[in-house]
Amino acid sequence: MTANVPHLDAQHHPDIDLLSDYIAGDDAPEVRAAIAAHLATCEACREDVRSLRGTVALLHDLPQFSPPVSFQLGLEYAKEPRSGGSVTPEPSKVVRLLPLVRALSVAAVLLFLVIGGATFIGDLNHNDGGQTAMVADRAAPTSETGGASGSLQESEDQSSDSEAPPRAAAVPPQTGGVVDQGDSASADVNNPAPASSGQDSEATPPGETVGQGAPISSESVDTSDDGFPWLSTTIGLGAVAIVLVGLWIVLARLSHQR
Amino acid sequence: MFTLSRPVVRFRTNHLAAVPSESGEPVLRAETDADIEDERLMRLAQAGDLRAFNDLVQRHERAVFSVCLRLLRDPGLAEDAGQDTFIRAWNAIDSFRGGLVRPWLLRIATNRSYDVLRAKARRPTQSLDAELYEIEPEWTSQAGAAEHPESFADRSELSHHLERALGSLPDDQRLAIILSDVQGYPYDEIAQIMGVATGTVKSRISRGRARLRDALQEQPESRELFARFLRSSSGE
Repeated sequence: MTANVPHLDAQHHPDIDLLSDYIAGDDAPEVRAAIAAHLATCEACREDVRSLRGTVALLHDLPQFSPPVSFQLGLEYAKEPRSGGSVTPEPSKVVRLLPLVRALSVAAVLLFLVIGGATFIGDLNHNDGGQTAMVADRAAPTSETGGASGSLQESEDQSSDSEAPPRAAAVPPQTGGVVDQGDSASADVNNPAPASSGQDSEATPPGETVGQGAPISSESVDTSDDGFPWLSTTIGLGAVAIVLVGLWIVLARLSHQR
Repeated sequence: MFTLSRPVVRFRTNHLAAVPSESGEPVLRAETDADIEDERLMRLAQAGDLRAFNDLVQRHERAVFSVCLRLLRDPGLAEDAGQDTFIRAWNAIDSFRGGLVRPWLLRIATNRSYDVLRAKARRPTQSLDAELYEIEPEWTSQAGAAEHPESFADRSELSHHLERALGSLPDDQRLAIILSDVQGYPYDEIAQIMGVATGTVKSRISRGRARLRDALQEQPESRELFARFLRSSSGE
């Protein structure tokens, strides 16, 4: 490729681009020869070249500056090493385990809250029912011999169903005022035999016994007492939740440090 | 006594080989030992090695700071821009697609400096004629210590005038002159830093040189000094 040689003479001088390339040595040989030939005859262009060279020399001699403090980055900018370079990447088991532990912790805490809450509410009801049952227990020995708890158990089972009006309506008013005292008294109604056949039955009239049990309602009976170990399950869940949450915190801290 | 040689030819090293990148832009490939070491450190840094990146910082912070200082003409702003440059480079290190590290860093530095200049233009509370030499300069001339004290004083004063004239150039010409004639980088690298064609770079450099020359010759306080410098450098 041939360079575009400029036409230079006494009336046509090289422009600043040509002169700049000339002093930098960036021009093609034939262009350079043409400029050199022109400079030999043109004092003004020689002065231009000389002053431009002086300017460039001064620019080159300008000082460099170092920053007052180094720009090196502190450890707070450190990143997790990645594969691809010669730095050996360490597989982060902590980071991989963290989501699983977190999910398990949340699940355990939620389960603990649900079951624990249900048990607590059931326990409250049970306490109410217990008081009633105690009354019934206290009353039972006066009206029946032994099997008091069995009678109570049956009465509870029955009373849970006794909310149904047809069932309540179906109870035969065999003991007169007993039925009038409320549905909960139907235990005595449905199981008249132990009460009537008890040796102490004469000590207290049935009506009086039932009269003390009048506050018993269907809601006061502990429906959770079906044999499942709710309390121990709740305690166990709480322990598991505490362990998992602790593990979660430890792993999260380890992950953050890495 | 001033010493004047052919500085541009002398310190510009055309050691680069341009190859097309995936995006179509030419990528400058390393051929010198320094550039190859830069590439090695950059690979480590891209793998997350902060120490390797800090080695790169150490190798290039002087160039970055010098360019920022000459563009911003304010040591405090230049320090902030220089630090921002390396923080941004570290955060965007995955965007480095190979080639030379220095133009990549200097492109970030110049963009950051232009951001600061634009912000400064909106709040023109400070003068652009802030004293550049508040920071102790490091002279690159071989004359340096061996130079005659009177000549050294003349050259220092002339440098002050030149710095002021440099500060008055349009941004694009100033950056081209700084990268070419002050830092001594090749045209290909400057084109990559400025994001323009090599021909545009050369054009900006030649116009910038002419303006600086005219400023030194026209300003009363620098005219005599410059004339003396030219006489002494040409051996008159």
